[in-house]
Amino acid sequence: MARGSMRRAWLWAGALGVGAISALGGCVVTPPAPVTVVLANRTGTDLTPKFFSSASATTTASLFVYNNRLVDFNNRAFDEMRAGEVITLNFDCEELRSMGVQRPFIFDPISLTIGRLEDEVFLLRDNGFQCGDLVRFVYDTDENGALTLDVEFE
Amino acid sequence: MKTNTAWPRIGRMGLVALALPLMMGGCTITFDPNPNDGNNNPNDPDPGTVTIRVLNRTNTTLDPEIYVAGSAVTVSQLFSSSRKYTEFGVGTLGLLGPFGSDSFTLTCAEARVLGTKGGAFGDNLNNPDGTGRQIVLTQELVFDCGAVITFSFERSGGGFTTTFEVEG
Repeated sequence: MARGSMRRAWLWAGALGVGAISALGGCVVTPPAPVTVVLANRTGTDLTPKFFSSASATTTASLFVYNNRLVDFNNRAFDEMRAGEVITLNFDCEELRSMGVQRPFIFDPISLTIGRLEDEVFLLRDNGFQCGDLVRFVYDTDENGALTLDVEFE
Repeated sequence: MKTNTAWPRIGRMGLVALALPLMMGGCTITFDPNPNDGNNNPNDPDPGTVTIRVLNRTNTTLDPEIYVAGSAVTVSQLFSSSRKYTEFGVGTLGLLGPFGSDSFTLTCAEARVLGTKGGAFGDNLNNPDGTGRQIVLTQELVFDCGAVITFSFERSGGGFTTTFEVEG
């Protein structure tokens, strides 16, 4: 008799488990795929990448402010990438509304010369990049030694 | 005997009942990765400091003309009035009396490039007796974070000269 009760209890527990999961739809909301950003310094010298990102900015004026600037990305005391250095950043897509690069520059610490790129790149989520994208900012120099910047998407 | 084998079977049925909706419902459990906070290097060192010692080895007043930049700069950008460092010496005005000396410490982030225009020597610094040699030092090239840099200002022949030494 007792065994019969136990058996019924197990069956009820199983049925309740199935019901509970069915009621939830069997789904847990999955966050959008993260965005991967790669900064690659292919110049032969130190580079200040001047990369900015924001969870809320939707204009260049609101993105390109110091608080949105990436300044602490390696073990140097100052915000410069070494020659050949590559930095990979992973962002929760919902936390990345916009990103960009503004007036990056290279620095030769021997001659104390600076080569600046006057351009800026501004990318807005869903209008420039998508969740799940890999965005690669490639800094290089042309045949005249001038800094160049290419943006590649995967 | 029969009952003893029935319970594990019921347990297995329960597991299957739980697993099936998970598999058929396309259910995905995703662990949210740590959002990037702009710092992808877990091995950040202690910020560290750079100490600058200034020695006046002459019998006249000295403005050592020390300039400091926390970012990459050209020579002309370094030696702009906004980058002149004066928080040392007599009355923290950046001046040293005859045979005076002082030192100050900067974080390494504040000292990407530093140097002296050469120093102005003389008791009337608006009309100095002479100037020394310009020196520019860059971090990771001439000195490292944690270094002690000594600028010495002295007479040389009929004029003045400036030298430096890096320790650490």
